[in-house]
Amino acid sequence: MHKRGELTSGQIAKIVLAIAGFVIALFFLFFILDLKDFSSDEICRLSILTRATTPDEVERYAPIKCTTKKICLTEGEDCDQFIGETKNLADPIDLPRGQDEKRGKSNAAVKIEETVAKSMLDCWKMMGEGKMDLFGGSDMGPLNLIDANHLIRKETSCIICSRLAIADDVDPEILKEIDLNNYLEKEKVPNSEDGHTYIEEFTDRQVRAYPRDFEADLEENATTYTPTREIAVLFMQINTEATATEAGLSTGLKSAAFVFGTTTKGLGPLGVLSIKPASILSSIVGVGTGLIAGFQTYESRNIAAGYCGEFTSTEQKRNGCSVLTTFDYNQVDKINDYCWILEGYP
Amino acid sequence: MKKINKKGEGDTLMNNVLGTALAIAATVIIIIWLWWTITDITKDTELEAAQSIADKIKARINALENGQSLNLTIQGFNQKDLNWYLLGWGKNQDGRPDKCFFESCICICGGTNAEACQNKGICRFFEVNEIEVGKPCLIEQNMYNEGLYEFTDQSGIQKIIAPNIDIPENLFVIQITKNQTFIQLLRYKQSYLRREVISDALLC
Repeated sequence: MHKRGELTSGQIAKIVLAIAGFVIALFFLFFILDLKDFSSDEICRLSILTRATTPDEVERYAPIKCTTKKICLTEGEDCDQFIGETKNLADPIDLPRGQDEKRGKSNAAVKIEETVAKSMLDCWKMMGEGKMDLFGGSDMGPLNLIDANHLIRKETSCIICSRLAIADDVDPEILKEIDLNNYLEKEKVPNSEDGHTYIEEFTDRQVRAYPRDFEADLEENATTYTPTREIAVLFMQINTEATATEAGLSTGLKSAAFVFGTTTKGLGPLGVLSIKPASILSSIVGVGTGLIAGFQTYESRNIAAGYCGEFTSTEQKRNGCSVLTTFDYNQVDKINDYCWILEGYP
Repeated sequence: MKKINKKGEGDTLMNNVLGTALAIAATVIIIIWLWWTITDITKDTELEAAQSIADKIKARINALENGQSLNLTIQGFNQKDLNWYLLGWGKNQDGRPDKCFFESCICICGGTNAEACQNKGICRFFEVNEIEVGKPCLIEQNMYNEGLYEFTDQSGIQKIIAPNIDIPENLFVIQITKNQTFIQLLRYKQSYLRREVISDALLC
C-alpha cells in the first residue's frame, strides 16, 4: 500500500534527471559557452548598425561600443604585451609544434597565419565589409582638409578590431615563415558555404588570385626590418566627395571591393591600376613610405582589403573608402598620422 | 475495487512541479544573460576606458624592477563630453585629491585638477614617495604657464614639462621609469624617443 507523500521510483528518477540536466546546462553555460565574449561581439555589431543608420545630427549619441580583442599566440608563456589588460582578452592560442609537410612550413607559422586571417575577416564582416558609413558625422566644416587634388577630405577615423601578440617563447625563425598574403589567396575560409578563399570573401568573390606582376612588385620593393611581435587589425574609413575613379580605381572596378598591397610604387588594386600619388587610397595606406607591416620580415609586403564607393547605410549618400589592414602596433607615430581618431575602446 | 485518485496526488502534480522548476531555471539563466548585456550597453564607456588604461599602467609599473624603464603604447579613446588627463601625486604632495590621501597615486581624470579626479577619476596607488606625471613640450617663448617647470634634455634645448598628460583619441606612448622611491611617467612622441630631435617634440 502506498503511503501518503511517498515518492515512487519513477518520480525520483525524474527529479534526479532534471537536476543533472540543470547542472550540465549551467556547466555548459558558464564554462563552455563564453557568453561574455558572445555579448561583446553582439554589442559591437549592434553599435555598428546603430551608428551606420543614425542621422549625423545625433551620431554622437550612438558610440561605437567595440572593445579591442586581445589574442595571444604562445608556446606556453603569457604574452607580456597584454599585462594588465583584461577586457576582451581571448584565451591564449597554443601554437602547435612540428612541420606542415604540405605547406612546407611549421605548423606554428600556419596557425599564426590562420589566426591573423580569421581576425581580419571577422573585422571586415563586423564593419559591414566597408560599405557602412560609420564616421560620416565628423564634419569639420571649414576645417575639412583639401588635398593637392582639391579633393575635400575629412579626418580619418579608425577602429582597432583586435591585437595579436606573439609570446617571447616563440622562435623568431617561425616569424620569417609567415606569408599572410599567400594564405589569404590560397586558403579557404572555414565553414564557408561555397568554399571561398579569404581573398574571395574580401572582394565579394570578384578576385581569385593576385596578378603575377603584383606579387613581383611586392618582392622587389621589400625592405628588411625587424619583425614585430604585436600587430593590430585596423579598420579605417575616410569620407570623400571624390568619385571612385578619382580615388584610384579604374572604371572597370569602381565601387567594388578589392585587395591591394602597400608598395613603394603606389601599386593599385590587383596590380593593374596605377594610383596617383596624391590619391585618397595612397594617402590612406601610406604608399611610398612602406610603413604598414605585419608579422613578415619585410616591410611593404602587406595586403589590405578595401572598398571605395558609395556608402549604403545613410539617407545622405556619401562616397568614401574603407580599408582593412594589419600594422605593427608599435609604429605609433605613423599610425597616428593616418588615424586621427580611434573609435571603440581599448 | 476501483482505486480512486485523490485530488492533487500522483504523476500530474509531479510533472507540473518538474516543468515549473525547469521553467524557473531557464528564466533565471535568461535574466542573468540579459543583465550582463544591458549592463554592457549602458555602462559609462569613457570611465571604463579610463579604468582599462589605469589597470594597464599599474600592472606594467608593478612588473618593472627598480631602476628599469619602458616605453608603453596606450590606446586612447573617443571623448565626447570631457577631456581626460593622466595625473599623479606623491603621498606628501599638496593639492592631491582625497582619494590619494594615504598613498601616492596615478589617476586618469575628467579634468586637470584634484577636484576633477575626486569627482570623476580612476586612481591607482603605489608605495613610493614621489610620482611625476608630465609631458615635455615646447611652448612659445613669450608664454608662461603656472605649474610648468623647465628641463633641458640631451638635445640641449630647454623645454617645459606640462604637469599632466592629455589622453588623445588615438595611440600615445609614455615612458615609465621606476626606482625605489620614485615613479615617473612622461609622454613623448615615439619619434622623439628614437632620435631626440627638437622637431619631434610635442607641443604644449
